[in-house]
Amino acid sequence: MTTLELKSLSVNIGSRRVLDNLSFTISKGEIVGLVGASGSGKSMTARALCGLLPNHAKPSGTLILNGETNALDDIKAFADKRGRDIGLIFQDPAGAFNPLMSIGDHVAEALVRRDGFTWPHAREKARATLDRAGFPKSIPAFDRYPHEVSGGQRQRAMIAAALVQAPKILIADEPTTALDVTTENAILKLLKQCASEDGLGILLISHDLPALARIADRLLLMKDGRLIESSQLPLTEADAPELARLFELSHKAPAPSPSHEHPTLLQTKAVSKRHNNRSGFLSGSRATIHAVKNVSLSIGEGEIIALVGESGSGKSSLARILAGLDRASHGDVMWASGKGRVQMVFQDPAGSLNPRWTIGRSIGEPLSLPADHPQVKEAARDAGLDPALLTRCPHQISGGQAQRAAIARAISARPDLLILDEPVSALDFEIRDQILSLLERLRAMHGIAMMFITHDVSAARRLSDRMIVLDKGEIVESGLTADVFSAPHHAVTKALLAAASPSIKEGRERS
Amino acid sequence: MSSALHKKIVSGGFLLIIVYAVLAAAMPLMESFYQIRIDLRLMPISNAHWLGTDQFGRDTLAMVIGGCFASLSVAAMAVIIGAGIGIPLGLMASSQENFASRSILSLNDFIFAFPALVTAILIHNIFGSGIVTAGLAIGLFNIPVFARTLYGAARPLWTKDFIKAARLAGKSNIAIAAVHILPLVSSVAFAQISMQMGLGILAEAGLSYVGLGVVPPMPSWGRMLNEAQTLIVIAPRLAIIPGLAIAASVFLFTWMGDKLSDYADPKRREGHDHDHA
Amino acid sequence: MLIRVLIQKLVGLIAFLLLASVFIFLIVDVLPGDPAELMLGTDSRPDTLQALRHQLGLDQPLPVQYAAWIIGFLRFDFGTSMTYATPVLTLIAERLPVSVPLAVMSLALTTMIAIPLGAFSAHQPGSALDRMIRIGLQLALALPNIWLALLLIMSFAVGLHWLPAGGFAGWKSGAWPAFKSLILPLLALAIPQAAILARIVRAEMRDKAQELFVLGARARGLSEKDILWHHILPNAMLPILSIMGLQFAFLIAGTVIIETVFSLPGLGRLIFQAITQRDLPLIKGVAMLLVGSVIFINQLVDLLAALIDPRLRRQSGASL
Repeated sequence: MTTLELKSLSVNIGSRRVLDNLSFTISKGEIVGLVGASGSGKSMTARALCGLLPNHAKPSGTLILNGETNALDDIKAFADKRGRDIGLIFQDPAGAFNPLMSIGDHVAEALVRRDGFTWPHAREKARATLDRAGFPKSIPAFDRYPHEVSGGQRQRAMIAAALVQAPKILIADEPTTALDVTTENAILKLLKQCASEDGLGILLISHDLPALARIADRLLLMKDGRLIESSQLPLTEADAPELARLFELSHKAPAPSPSHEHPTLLQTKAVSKRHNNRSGFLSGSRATIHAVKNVSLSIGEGEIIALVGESGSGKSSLARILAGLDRASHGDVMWASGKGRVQMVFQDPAGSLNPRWTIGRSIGEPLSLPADHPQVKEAARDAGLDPALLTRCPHQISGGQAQRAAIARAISARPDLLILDEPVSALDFEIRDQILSLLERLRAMHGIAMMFITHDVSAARRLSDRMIVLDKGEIVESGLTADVFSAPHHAVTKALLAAASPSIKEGRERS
Repeated sequence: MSSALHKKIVSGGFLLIIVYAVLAAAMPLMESFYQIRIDLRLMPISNAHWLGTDQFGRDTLAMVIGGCFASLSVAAMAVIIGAGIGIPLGLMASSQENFASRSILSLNDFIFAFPALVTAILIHNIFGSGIVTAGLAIGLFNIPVFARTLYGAARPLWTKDFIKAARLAGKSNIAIAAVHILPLVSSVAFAQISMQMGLGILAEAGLSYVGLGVVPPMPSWGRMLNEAQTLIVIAPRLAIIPGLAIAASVFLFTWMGDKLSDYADPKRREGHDHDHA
Repeated sequence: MLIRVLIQKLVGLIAFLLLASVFIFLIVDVLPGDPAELMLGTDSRPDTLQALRHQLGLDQPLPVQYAAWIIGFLRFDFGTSMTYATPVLTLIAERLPVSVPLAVMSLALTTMIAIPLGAFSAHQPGSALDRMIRIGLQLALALPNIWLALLLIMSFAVGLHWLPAGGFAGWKSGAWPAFKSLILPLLALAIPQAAILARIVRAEMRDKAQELFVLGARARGLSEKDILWHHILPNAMLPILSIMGLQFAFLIAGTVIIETVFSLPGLGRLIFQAITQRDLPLIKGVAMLLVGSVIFINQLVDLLAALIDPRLRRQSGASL
């Protein structure tokens, strides 16, 4: 039974057509996955369906919901449907919640303000819905504020706030992007449950194709504001060649490692990092947090090591210590050569370049070279960046190009160790593949040792010789990447590997 | 608003500020016109006295032009003190979170408890009335204003990855502040300078009105208001004219400050609301 | 915990007050040289000077003098005015019934004008109403309060004879006649301050309107009105409150000046007489009171912010 039918949705911003003639349906209890690169119009589609487009965007088309036809440019009609018929959840930076309102009241609020419930009555219903969404019973939701619960709990609360008005359709816009892999799996399972048990139709938007493939019934692929492919799962190459190709990209086979014999470049001995969490001047309470605990590891020359773990596992703290940006509270970092030069590449390409500097000037910074120096141009070419872009500023180039510029800056200084902190997790699938290829090539070309920090185990598998798994600041597993993949020991490693999905051709879990 | 139009408006404002500075510099030339001449007192508007004369026979137009000097020099002195101390303090506090930066911020909050008038009253015994007292008193209050603004603008920048990259490139905190941070916050600083010039002119008028500002014979808009108050019924123009001069110059500076801060904020410069899509 | 914040603010209050007293003591009693000479003039006779020094305790070492002053404070003894030969505290207490209502009411009026104006303006940015309000605010911001006071006197007192041009009827003459003489001073104080505050309100509300939680509230189907009052405004109130704390310093200074314009028998007139008479104990006492009240209000504002914002109230380990 079709719950929602979208007919030729188009959106114009000024004279630019950002969404072009989109049509699709969502049935009762069906999960439709919507994929596409950033800027392809996924989020715009989500917001058009909820009547939440920015003021300057002009929609057209029709939406048939429960057999009732609505014109999409009729914003007023939407105000009433929003929340009641179509729920929306999105990525959980803590900012999606009003920081001054308790978690529980976010769920109860609409009942009071829209349906005339009393607060006690609304809270009762909200508590039941929170339970349904798997929000821990042990947490007093009406006495906890958004900053006091974890990201996964916030996402459950956001789902509860959408479910409490019993909508027929839920639009989930990148609901798990900010979450750990294990939490991501739990949230996806919850959504699946809502679809199969309550008959909720879900439009699940994500750039994480493997995750989508695990729970969706159907996939839609968007590119430049158009719907270019639509396919039932499991995918077949004949039905959806582009989706199949993207899927393959995420599971490329590992590059054969040149050698397993590396002379030692650096060693750490029982490195620990404590943070004294002081809230402010004159404040009494202090909490000591071990970000890194007793970490001993060694890195060989020209070796690529993957440092894997969930967020908060201490990966970035360890990286900062190795880079010399931070001091260890205990333990030593010892370089074979006495002192090593370290460069870093960061997750967010936009934030890693000074917005007012030209790309060339940024690349020349470590060596204090002028922007038009031949060495700067050479570094750019090495990183696959067109030297013509060197005179541009960061906002004039794409995210992938910015990441290449950051890599160029790092390698221009010929570091002993290159630390890559989640270098591809903010990038789209295809760009991710290109950057990973670039790193493979750079290793072959220069033999720079790299530490590759990631929660994306498939990227780790493709690039690294050795893998170290970190949990709560401690090393819980380490070994050759191939060995760790074939025989993981620790529970955390197993969970991480399980989250990296199997290929579609190997079959898919179906309920 | 288009960027080109914006630039035109801002340069127009700068031009007016230059005119204002020239008028201030012209004060010595006006001196002969604001000598006390009881025989010429309370002359109406005429060809000889375009804005009439006051109860001491001084030419009102000359007094208004002469008043530019006191306003501009006190406000400028206050801004130089405030920005000169406040900007480095704010940048220093923003660079890291430690005891020193917390102390700077606490000291800021403390100085905020000393409005210019109270400081002027306190230091009046040391320096007497005049440009120094007024400039120091307003300048002291300007310090935390600048420090806080610069702290707020610079603090989020220090956590950016390009700052970490600069550290890895071997740059010291001071070098990073100079080549990365300062250029990125300079427009915020200029906007605040313009705003504080305007507020400084207002504060100077208040201090001169109660006798803590510049002393005669140097003309001052605030004192002109004081002297005009008793004549409000017979010669209201004597109160209206200097007030207009104050309001117009404050408007010029605060308006310029607004335009500059629009320029500093790219979100507002582009003139439409951004969404989170 | 709220108790902890309360204690924190109390400690801050005491520390700042002590610091302020040292500051005032240094500037008034130490830096200018000999206070006795300052008060009596350089040509006075040595024995009179000596007598005054002894009377003021100036022959004691500086720390002793400071300690005596501070201990006096704790015993509600602010010293004795030289010109009035009356305890400073008595003099101040006589003036408070004018100054305190004026300062408090002008703060209230400022807020009452600024918040609706700023909210209206922020509601539909770029609309005709918004542009009109913004131009009005920019003009009002540039108005010197003394000039505004004179213009108000010209129109409502001299021209229309609705309200007194100055002076104070005294609260004994009844609430209305007394309040009538405060209406023009209130307007002169509040209008330019309201312009400053309304601009902040507008900017903060527009800022908060861009936050993701507003999109979240819309997605749950809340009306724009509910979103404005229950989500945007409470969040905008935090920075607005801290600006209001700062504005209190301006209001205190403004009150003192505006009292002079309207010949109101408040602290303003008292302190300007003290300056002309070089009555140092009186200057120190009034300055301490003015600075102390600004410090007190700012700590109070911080406390209020902690009441609104759970993040300031309790820091838990859940989010780092």
